[in-house]
Amino acid sequence: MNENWQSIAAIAVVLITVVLFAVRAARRRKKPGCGGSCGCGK
Amino acid sequence: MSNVASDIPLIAIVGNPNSGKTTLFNLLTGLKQKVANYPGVTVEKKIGECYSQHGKKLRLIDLPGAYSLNARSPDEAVLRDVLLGRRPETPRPDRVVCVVDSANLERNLYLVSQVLELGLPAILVLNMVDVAEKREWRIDAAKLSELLGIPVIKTQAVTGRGLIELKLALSRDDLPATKWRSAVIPDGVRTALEQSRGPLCETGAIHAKASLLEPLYLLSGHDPTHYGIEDSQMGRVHELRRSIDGAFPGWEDELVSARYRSIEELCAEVLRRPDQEIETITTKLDRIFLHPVLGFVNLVFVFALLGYLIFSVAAAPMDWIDGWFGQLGAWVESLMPPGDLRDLIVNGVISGVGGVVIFLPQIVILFLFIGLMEDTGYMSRLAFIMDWLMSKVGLNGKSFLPFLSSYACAVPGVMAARTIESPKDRLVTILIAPLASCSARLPVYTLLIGLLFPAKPLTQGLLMMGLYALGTGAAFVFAWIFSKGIMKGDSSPMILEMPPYKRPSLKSILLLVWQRAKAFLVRAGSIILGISILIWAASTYPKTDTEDKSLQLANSFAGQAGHFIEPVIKPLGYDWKIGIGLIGSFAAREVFNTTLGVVYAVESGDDDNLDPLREKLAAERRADGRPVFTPLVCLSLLVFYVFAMQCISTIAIVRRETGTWKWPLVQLGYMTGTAYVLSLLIYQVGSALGY
Amino acid sequence: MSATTLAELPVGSEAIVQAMPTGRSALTRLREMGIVPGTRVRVTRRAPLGEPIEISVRGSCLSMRNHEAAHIIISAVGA
Repeated sequence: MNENWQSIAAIAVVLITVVLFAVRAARRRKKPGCGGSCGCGK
Repeated sequence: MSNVASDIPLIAIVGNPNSGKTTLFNLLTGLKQKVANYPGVTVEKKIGECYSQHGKKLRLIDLPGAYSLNARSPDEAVLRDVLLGRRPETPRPDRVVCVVDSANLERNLYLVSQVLELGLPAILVLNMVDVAEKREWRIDAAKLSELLGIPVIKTQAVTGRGLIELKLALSRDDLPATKWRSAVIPDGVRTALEQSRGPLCETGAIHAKASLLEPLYLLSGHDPTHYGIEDSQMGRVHELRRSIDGAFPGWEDELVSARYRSIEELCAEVLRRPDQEIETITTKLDRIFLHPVLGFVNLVFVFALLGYLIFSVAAAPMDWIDGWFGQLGAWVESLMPPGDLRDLIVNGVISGVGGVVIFLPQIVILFLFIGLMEDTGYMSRLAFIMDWLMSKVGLNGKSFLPFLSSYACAVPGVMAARTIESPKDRLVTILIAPLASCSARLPVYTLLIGLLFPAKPLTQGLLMMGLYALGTGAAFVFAWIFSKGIMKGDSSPMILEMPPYKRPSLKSILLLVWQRAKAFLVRAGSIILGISILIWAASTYPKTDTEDKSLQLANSFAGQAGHFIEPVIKPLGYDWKIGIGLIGSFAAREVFNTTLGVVYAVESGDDDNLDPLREKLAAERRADGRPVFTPLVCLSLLVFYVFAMQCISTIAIVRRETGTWKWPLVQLGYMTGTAYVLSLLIYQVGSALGY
Repeated sequence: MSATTLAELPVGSEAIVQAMPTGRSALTRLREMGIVPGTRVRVTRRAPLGEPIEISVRGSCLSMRNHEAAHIIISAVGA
């Protein structure tokens, strides 16, 4: 039984991650720039 | 950021590069500063807070260093635009603090004269008084204050001298604007500028209430980014510029001379210089550092030192971080029953994120080193030594800074190429920028070099520097090839300032390192985290009903992808698991480590999570029992990573900066092509030789 | 006292800037950094292959290529 909720939870986390990335990519199209994501400070 | 005028005054800190302005800013604000980006440009926006002597809150904004308000680069454009109030998201400062390098008074006063003309209440800070004193320059601050009509304060930012007086001056409610007028615009030019106000307004460049100075700077500027003016309107602006140039040839240059005449008159009254220039420590040191032979030897030594430090000093903290992540994984495992979510957390997230965070000590050392080189002034000597080499391959010194930035990350490097006026030079710089080994390659290099030469920090350091040298050398070679092959164009000039050597401000450098480290961790915690989850998913789904972990991995999305490209990468010595790593690197190069971390964790299952990745890789065997990561394979992989064009962000930014898909594809082609060929050669020839 | 250009000034000598062509973007920047007609300059060193050159002007050190220096007309002063 434990296995089942964990499997569902895992897939949920993955789907949420995909959605978040898609949103981020769409937003980056609008506001260009490095976004400071490289750790280089620019 | 709210645009509403608040009763917290906004004070701008302006000055030449190397005037110590940022050190002063850091001193005043300490950790209470926020670093962001100005929208649309890769210019850092630094706002901080400090308290006046009376306990009143003040907001300080550190504007980019510049030599003039006639902007030639995005940095200078931001300075101009913020001071003119043209930036909607940044309110116009209420007051200005002009920071000046006292030992360089005349030149520094040029920008000051422009800034003071804008009419804002101001304070003049004579910084680096110690250097001026060593040169036996005497500046009469009181007289200067009287002539300018604003407070003048002597400081030495590095030691904090003068700080209290500065804070007192900042706290004044009644700060005056200067009464000094440095350059009178000739009537004819003045009229022309006034007439251009209307048309400029129509282009949207300025608004109706702009002062005369806005057309002055927008029409005489050489700003490649032309912020606030749409591309379609630039034609009008160029027209206006040409008409003034036609009516009054050389008016810009005459204005510059006029300003310097006023400055010279001013300095005649407040500055006393000795007849003979005193030899300072700078001139003495430069005899070595800029010596034709010794200088270069020293450069090599400096980089070798950096390489060594990155491996030896970083090793212990890296092991500690590795162990910590391992323990975290073990703890979560003990808490949760077996299942997908636990697997995701332990083998996906912890393994993946840990694989990148472990490099924090190296990043810290790298930026500490860079900060020291910049702060002491050695960086410009580097540019000087490298310039003749760069000009030989058709690059110019202006390419140096974008290229150098690319060692941290190619994305801002490519954007910085905007400062290069010649289209040809700019294109060449953009094309070769990714060959500078960016900081994302560092984890990959470290992992593979560690496999090659375990526990030999000196050798590791040398190989590391060798890889950087390889990338740099290749960049020069390709620059030469491209310069010869692409359109002929004028080379842009290079003008570089070589500031006197100075004692570095440790506080400033540590602050910088802290900001970079924080950005690194935030990236790891967000993007790398997300990618780790996705890679775990790709390595786990679709699920196969089997106990054999290897089979499970082989049947997953990631495994299938790896197998798919395996025929292509086999001649290079790579297997399908490395293939998965290569694919992952298109998101971000350091994801190679993340991917391998996840792939091997997923594979090994519940045990051996404490083994560092390196050991797992070293133990990996092919079907026939031979090790996968032989020294030859490691070398082949390393060379591949030096050259291969990965990283979607870079591709995207090149597309944006060049306006077409042609050039990113060219980059992809020549770089990955070279990577493939070279790795192939290394592996095949090496195998034939029996390695 | 022959007029010559900054590119030809020997290392260690001083000179006074006489003239510079107007309207050239690179030279405008040099002007803004302090090199205008009437300024005193000194050549501190040259890199091994002849350029860049380092000059001292108004108390600061600038380096530039011969390409730019060749446009700056100077007259040497006895050092």
